[in-house]
Amino acid sequence: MDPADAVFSALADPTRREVIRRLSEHASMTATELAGVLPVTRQAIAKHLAELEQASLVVGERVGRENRFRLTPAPMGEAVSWMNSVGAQWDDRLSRLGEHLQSP
Amino acid sequence: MHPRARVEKRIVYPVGREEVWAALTRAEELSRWFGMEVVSFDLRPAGRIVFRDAGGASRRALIEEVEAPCRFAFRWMPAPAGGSARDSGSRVEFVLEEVAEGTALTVVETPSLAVGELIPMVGPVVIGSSIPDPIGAPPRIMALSR
Repeated sequence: MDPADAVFSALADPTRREVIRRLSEHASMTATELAGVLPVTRQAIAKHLAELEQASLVVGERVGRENRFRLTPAPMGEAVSWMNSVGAQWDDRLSRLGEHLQSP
Repeated sequence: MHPRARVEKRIVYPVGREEVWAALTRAEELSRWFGMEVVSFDLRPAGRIVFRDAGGASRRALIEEVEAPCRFAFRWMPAPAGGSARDSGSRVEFVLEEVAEGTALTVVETPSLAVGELIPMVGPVVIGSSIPDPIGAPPRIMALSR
């Protein structure tokens, strides 16, 4: 897979986008920490992290006994974080618009 | 800017197109769901929208397209000094289509040059339901009771 395809495919999944959003709020996180804040198992998180790592969107590093993951540095990180925050903002707005449209 | 660098969302609401159009283009309705209060709204090409965010700061947008009831687009104007400039300059476009289930609303936000110019480095990236989905999921439909 070429690098652009890997990024495209990695970002197509909503759980992986959520993983990126969480990582953007922390310096680094472990798979266990991510599983604690997302409704998926640690094993599933590890798989998603592997895909994101493959796409060079995140990088894992061993710190003591832990494998900690962080977003790769800008410029890629900046573009991805823009798309994630704007995307999440529209999800919220469109959900509120749905509520507004059904209110009497 | 890369032509495909953008955020795109599509959602179907089980209501008529005029209702969705009104929710997008009437100040009092827009204020209810946009997340910012609409202070003034001059609905015409080159007209201005002034929002007030939760912190009381003004955010201004310049209307670029008004084609009732199917297209509406505006561009965020640079935030005043001290304000949040994170998405200043980005363009927001709404397209409303009549579909069997009601009205399909597509929102496309195209980043300002500062962010957009970074994206070609990794090729096309689109976030949203328009991504060719491997399992071919249909557009999300809101289940509204009516």
